[in-house]
Amino acid sequence: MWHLIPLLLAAPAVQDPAPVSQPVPPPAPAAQSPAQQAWTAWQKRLAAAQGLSLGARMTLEDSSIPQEELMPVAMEIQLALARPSAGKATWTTVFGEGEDAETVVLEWIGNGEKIYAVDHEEKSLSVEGAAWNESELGFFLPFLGPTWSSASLTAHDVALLPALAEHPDWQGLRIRDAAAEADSGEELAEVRIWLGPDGLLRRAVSSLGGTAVLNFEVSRMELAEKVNLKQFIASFPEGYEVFDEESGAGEDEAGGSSLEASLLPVGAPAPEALFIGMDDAEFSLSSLRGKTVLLNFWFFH
Amino acid sequence: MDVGDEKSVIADYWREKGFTMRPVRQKGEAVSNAFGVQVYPTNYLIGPDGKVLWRAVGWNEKTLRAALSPK
Repeated sequence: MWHLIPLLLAAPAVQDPAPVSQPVPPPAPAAQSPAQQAWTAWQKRLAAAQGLSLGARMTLEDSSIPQEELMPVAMEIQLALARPSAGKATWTTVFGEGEDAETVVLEWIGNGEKIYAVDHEEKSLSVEGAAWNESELGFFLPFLGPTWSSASLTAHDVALLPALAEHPDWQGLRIRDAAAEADSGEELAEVRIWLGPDGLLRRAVSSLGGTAVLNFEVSRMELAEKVNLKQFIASFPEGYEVFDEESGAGEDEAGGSSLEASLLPVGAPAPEALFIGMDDAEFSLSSLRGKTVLLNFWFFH
Repeated sequence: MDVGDEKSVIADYWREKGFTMRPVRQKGEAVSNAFGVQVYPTNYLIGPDGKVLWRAVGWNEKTLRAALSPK
């Protein structure tokens, strides 16, 4: 049975973020906004620290910065925590049943600078970006579940491993909404996990509290098995063709992965759809006209 | 959530794991077929005008942010 889950959400204001893959810039001219100054300060600290050490706790506090200005800074810091990105990850799944069953294997390789999607049929590597959460894998990770412990997923030093949700230390992944948090009085945190230089998994929990206070706390995650970094440094298969041009964000929808070939193109009118709510009442997608709707198709046993 | 509030960000997912989404069902596979869904998970973002703003298999924060940024 399917579950279609519409959610009403509003378009966020997205600031143009400072590039994280660049070297630390020289001291900025006085014209920088407080949020930009905060970001510059964080870039310098991250560069100086050469990766966060265990037990590190950093607080960025500046009451002059509105929380909504600090959010993009927080997101960029999260991305900065995600690098460098080396390792290999594989996602295997079976679609259909019986004679129609088809096994799909997706594989990605990071060489410490970029992430590539591997096509073993075409014998090619296509660049997907500089961090794991920029690649398709960034989303598939939450659904890999116990494959982590069975080692069919090899580690990588980025982000988003709700597969470890079974671990008692795991707080879960939540996207923060400063306005909703203020309303609910509930403190939400964003958690990122990555593989550190010593081969151990690290967890960073960030929270935005009070008046524009950004907290980061880094701790070590204990797993049943230690993760050896050397095992996860991947090498490119020989004889594969490499496609190294990155596609622009949000531009080339037509050039998306083969998994998306059947989807409606951006700009197409959404077809009419009838939903049945949990109260068994029916309603149409067109009745939600005037709102922005996120429609999530998921697989439910 | 106020759709006019541009300062909001994407809301929580997975209630047990962090989501707060409204689950619904469909009759047969009418909706998934109409949207060309073949792989899970698939996400569509539909704008107030009823047109597809963004869609992806899985989740692509970068392209989603690009689709949502003010033009």
